[in-house]
Amino acid sequence: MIKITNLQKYYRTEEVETVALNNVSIHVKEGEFVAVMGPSGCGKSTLLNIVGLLDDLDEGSYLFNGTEVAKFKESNRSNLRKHNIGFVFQSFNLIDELTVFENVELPLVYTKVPAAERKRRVEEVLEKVQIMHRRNHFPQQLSGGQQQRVAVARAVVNNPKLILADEPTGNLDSNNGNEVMQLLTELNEAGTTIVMVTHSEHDAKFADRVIRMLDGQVIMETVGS
Amino acid sequence: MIKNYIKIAWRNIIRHRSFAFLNIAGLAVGLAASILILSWAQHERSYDSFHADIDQLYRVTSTLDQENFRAAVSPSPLAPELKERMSEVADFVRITLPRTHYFEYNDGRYEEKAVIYADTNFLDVFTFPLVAGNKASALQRPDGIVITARMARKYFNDENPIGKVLKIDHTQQVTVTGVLKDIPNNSHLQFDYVLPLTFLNKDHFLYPHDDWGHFIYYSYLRLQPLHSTMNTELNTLEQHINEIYREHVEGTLLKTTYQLQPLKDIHLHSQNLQVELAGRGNYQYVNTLFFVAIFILVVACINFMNLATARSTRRAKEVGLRKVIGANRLQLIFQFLGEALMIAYFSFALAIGMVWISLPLFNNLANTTFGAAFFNLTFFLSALGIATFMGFVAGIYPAIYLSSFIPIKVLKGIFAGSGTGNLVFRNTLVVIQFVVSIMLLVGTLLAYQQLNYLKNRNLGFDKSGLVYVPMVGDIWGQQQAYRNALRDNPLTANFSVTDDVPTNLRSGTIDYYFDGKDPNSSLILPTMDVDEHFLDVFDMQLIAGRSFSPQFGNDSSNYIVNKTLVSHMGLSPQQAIGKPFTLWDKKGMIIGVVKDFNFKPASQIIEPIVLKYNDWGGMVVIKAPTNQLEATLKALRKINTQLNPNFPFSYGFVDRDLEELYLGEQRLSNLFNFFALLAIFVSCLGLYGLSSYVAERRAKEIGIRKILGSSSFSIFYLLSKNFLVLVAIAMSIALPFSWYAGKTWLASFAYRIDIHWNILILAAGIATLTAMLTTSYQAWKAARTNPVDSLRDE
Repeated sequence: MIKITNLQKYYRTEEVETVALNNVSIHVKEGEFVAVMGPSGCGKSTLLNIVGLLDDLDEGSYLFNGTEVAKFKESNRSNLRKHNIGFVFQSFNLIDELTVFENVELPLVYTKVPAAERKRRVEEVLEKVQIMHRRNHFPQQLSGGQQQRVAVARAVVNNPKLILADEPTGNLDSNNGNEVMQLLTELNEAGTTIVMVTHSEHDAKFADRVIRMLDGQVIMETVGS
Repeated sequence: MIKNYIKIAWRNIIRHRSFAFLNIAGLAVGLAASILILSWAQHERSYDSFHADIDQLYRVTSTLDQENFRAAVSPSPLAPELKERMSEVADFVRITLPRTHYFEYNDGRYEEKAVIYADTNFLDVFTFPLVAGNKASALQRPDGIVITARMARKYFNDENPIGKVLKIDHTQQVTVTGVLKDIPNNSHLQFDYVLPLTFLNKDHFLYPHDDWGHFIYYSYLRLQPLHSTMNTELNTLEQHINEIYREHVEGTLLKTTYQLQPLKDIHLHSQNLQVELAGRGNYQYVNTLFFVAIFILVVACINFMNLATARSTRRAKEVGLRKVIGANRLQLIFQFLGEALMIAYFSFALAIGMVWISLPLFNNLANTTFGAAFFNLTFFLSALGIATFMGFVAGIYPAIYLSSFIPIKVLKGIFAGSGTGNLVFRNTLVVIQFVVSIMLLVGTLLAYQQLNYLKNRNLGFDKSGLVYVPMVGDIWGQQQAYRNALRDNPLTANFSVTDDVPTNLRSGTIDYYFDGKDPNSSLILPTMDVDEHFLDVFDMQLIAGRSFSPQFGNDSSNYIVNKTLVSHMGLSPQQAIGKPFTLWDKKGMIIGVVKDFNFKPASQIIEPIVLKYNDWGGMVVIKAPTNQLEATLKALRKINTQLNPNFPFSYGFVDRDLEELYLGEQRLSNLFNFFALLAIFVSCLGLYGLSSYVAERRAKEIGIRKILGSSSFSIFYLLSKNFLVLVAIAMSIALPFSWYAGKTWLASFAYRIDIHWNILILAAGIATLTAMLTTSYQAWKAARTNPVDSLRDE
């Protein structure tokens, strides 16, 4: 599904150029659950952003489902993104002014799904993440774990083929963290490809495969338990 | 999608109420102010537009001695001759200045000041519809009078006014032949009665004699439709008019030329015209206030942009997220623009309320009579149009800016909002606001000073306690008894008989001669007929010679002149005494020179004037003893009602008449002040919002500084400093501009103040103080916050 070859990514300020990713090649097959690990600043989030088409690469090739997307324009990327990729962030990133239901509904609004269909799908996914009873609450009224469940619901409501999770348990206690990991595992078992960046060895154990990075390079790949 | 936008916009407003309030209130004040000003400007521009033939109607104005003396009047035979000779002239009508008459019907007896005399086709040329009577015949009979519906109610209540007989000046009778719909506010002709010129006696000075040198009528022409609106066609007509006129006159009158003034220009473009009807506007004021309205709108829009971009960090996460989820930039631009429009529509609703509430105050300030009819469909549509435009203008930059955020950056918490480009933009907007505010402030102060200066300038006579009473009715026949009665009462004993009061003299002649007079000169010489007490009653200063006096026998061919006339003659005051002087073929000599005094509005330069001896009457001017004005009026009333029982006692005050000369200026100055202050208020609203935002955004920095030992004062200084720097920059731009603009404006006054540096300092001081007061509350609050609170939030 994802085939990245010889990826180079630089960050430039006025005076210095730092290499963020150096000659990275990764391959993720459809249905896989991959964790990316490494110390802070190793480039794992940058990699995730490039995979998620939020950031562009300076050199190398990126095949998404066999299509070269490295040179895609923003409009094409946005289109690809909204139909194929769901995102889960460490800090949940829910919109404070929208209710749980409305937050989850938002991706469907942008893909122009009819209202009745939206309602059905949002309720279905809220049931799945067990937050249906809070559908009319605002994010500030929920616990961190509940917020992240809403974020996961939002990420999957469009039935994306790929979910990208950036330290999804980073802001949660272990109980809530486990619930979220459980949720991701279930989604993966149902066929969704997942790429997750994490600091936690515990979370990484849920993945099929772990890619370890250091200083912008992939140094090791291990197959999980 | 739209529903989602509205929801978000609405919840944003509710969640950030105080912020939204600043935005909505600022825009609403701006909208309300501009709605009022634009309506007023529209009203001023609409004058006379109700006439069906407005584009063909012109008034003939005259110019003497090149551009020095322009007047709204022309001689009586001119208009009929033009119709006779020129095929382009379809019709004409001549009108006199409004006259005062006394009307009686049964027990009702009133003094009426708005009576005009006109040619019989008055109602054909102008569109003043009749509610009763026949347009074609109403002015045909010499004693037929057309009155307004207002006056019909006053005299006849519900009775049918047609055919009713009114007694006029207690001696003659007129019959009501027509009732006019009340004259619209936006008519330059304001009157309540029209009498045909044929009603006048042949010996009356207003009778249409064949006199080409007597400028007593307002002459209006209806032209055949012009082939083009080009000025060349009008110029050709004017040339033709001047040629016809020159066939009838000789001497200095040959120097008179005539112009065609479009009827629609009369209200706003008659500033330089003498003998103009009262109540004229001024296009310069309309333009100035129009710009003030635009300024207020701009300032309100700037507030909106400033606050919206300043608050961008709060919306950044949402933008990033929407983009990640799949929103494209255009969708986000629409969303934010939609929010701006929503705010603008809230402001629109609030502004309508504000206009409704402030209408009486505005009417008072502007002397308009906007009422419920003001709120018509056109009004709502144009106000809505302005609101939409404002929402769009104010919203487009924030929309483009906010939608430009790059998701991975904003989601990580790196805000483009802290970039220098945006900061420079915001600061530029603040500077612009202050430049405008300071300029308006200087304008306000200058206008106030100048008007005060004009009002309090030494007129050359003492205006206090001067009461004038026109001679009417039976007084004419018993002048000696009248004088005796006045003399016998110590309250009224200090009086003078004159033909007019020196507030706004309309007389003037070119029929005079002195030795050495330039034969080519057509200088207009105003005249006044005064008696021997005039100089004493008005407390004027004689600088050479003597005043009129019965001791010297017959003074009827002697003259007193002012200093300016003596200078014009090339003499010193002493040299002028005894020099021969001829006025209206009456040879005599100069016996006295009086120090210059104002006899026209003080904005005009003092012209030469000649005073001749009054042996016929006109009016009496009484100097009331100090603090006994009431008693004097009572005594005057008694004397007048005794000698003249058939006429109501009427009187006036010289100082009040003088006040009234500046009423228009005063009114416009009040309007300007009011809206200038509004503009400054709206600026402050924006500055307040911005300062609260800055305090909020720097909360963490302030916390850290305080933990490291910074005092509350230095925090306060830190936060206020930036705004003061902006104010300083604004000042350095605004002050030279204001100085220049003020100088240009003042140049239009003959007597004017100098722009003193302290006015500029004062304006700058007020601006700085306002800025400080506005920002300091937030700075003070931030400085006093416990640092633990602000750091815990992180």
